[in-house]
Amino acid sequence: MTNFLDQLPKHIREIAESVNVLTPEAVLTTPRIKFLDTRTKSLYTLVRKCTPDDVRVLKDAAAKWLAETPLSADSLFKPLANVKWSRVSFGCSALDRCTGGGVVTRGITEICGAAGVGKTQLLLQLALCVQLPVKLGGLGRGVAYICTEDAFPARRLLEMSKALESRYPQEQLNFLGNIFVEHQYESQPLINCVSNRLPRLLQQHSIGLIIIDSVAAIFRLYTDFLERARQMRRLADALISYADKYNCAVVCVNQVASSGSGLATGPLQDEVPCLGLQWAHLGRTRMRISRVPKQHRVKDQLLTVRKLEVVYSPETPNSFAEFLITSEGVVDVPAELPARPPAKMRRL
Amino acid sequence: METTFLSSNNINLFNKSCLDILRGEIQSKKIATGHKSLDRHLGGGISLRQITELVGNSGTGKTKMCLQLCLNVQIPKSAGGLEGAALFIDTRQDFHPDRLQELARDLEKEYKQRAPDFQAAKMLQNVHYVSCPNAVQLMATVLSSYRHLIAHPNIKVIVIDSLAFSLRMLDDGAQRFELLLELVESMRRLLREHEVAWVVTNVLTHRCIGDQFHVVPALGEMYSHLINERIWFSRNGHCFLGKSWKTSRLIKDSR
Repeated sequence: MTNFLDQLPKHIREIAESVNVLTPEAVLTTPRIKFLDTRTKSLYTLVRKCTPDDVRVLKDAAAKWLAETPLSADSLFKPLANVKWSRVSFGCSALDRCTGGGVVTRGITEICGAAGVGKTQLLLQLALCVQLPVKLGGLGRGVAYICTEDAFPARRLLEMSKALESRYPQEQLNFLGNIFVEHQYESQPLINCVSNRLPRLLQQHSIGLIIIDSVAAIFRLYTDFLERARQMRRLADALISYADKYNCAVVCVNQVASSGSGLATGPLQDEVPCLGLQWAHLGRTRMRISRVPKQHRVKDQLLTVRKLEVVYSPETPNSFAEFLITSEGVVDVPAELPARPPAKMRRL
Repeated sequence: METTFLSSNNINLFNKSCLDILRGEIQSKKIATGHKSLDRHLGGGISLRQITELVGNSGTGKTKMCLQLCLNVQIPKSAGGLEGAALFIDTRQDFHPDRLQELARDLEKEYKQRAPDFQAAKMLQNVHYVSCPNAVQLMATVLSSYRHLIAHPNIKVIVIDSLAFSLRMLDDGAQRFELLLELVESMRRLLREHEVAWVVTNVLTHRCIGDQFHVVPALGEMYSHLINERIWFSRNGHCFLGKSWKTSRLIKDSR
């Protein structure tokens, strides 16, 4: 492959070299003014004039070098390209139905909800299910889990992994051995970790899911909104590039805060997800977990039903599903059994 | 591009009257958006040779409208459409072929009587897709889009979804501004030479004006002057037409 600069005509190559812009990426991202600016050049180079047309030819050549040819939309259905749209199942059929198969391996999926509503439980279940083989809804790959708030709930994970093992005994998987946990409590070390150590992990082990629990805790303490926006963008940029390159799912956890406006039509509408519009645009899918005022009896315990709602997603319509959190993990709400036998039989 | 010689003999300015332009506009077809009131207010739909911006928060239907436009541009001439193709430039990987297929099937059903051989499978073939994960790729794709237009001259709409996302990832504000201007200049140059429509997607952001935060479209004030039409999407399904919030007009949803 010839060098990009070598195949340009001579006077255009000189323009690029005189401002020390050597790669096609740098040519495209350097503003035109930098090529035309005569203040920093010596008298010798001023003699040869650089016109805007020359700069346009240079940029055009760089664009031609880097651009990909568009494909037609129906070739995206072919299996080779289809692997980019694979999904990680939740392990619970109601949730899978509602989200169209699970968490998609493109972009950032945001799960938001109030405290104690079950976000971490759902993430642990996802971390186990991603390790299942593809035919059972997983990706057969490991997990990178970055914890920013409390200690990682290892004992609960063990309990859930035992339940999953008993469900699929034929897959002898070392569930706990494929989950890599890291604790980071501040934003700058987190971004360093995500930018430096995470790519090394992704190269050495095959990772199918990256979890950050939670993003809100890191960015809530910022008072300078511009700086916060910049850090969020850097984090999201890194995560999205990994999702694209290694074809893994990325899940970030967000919290909710009450909006304090009098226009709320109910307790649910009063709470808005934290981190504002900036974070909302960086995420691709948003799911919201909340409690439902219904309860269900499972083995002498009264459990509150939880609801997962797809707030926005490019693939699925806005739907919701209900689930329970039991000792086995996240399960469907069982259908109600009739309490008494039907009237016909009782007459006998 | 034609070069004009400014000698007094062949100045070819001022040889088109307003009536000629009006006739040309009435005859040129527009791309239906599928939203009846919006089409009525726009005079038929999205016009060619213009940059139209769709702005709104996440989950309000911008990507859906972009997909719908890619399909509506293919409506056969016998049914009043443009019978063209579409190019979809995807920066957020929001594009999902299954969703496009669903919309294509719905459109096929809708046009079954008027145009029986408007097939969903052929519709998908006419949508060209390219993914641009960062700003550099986006610049490269937009600057070399003319090459693709020459190879496929029936492309009538080019969608960038979303323009704001790649550019906002750049840290340096000045560089972001310069690149945005270069992009828009390249888009306008393409509009002069080919008869296409650019459709761009944008998001809302907070901007500090005075001492208050206002919710405005991202990418800046200067950029607002460079686009031709702006359609706002809100969460309850309503559309607004107009460049700034104060001058926008509510288009009620009527299907």
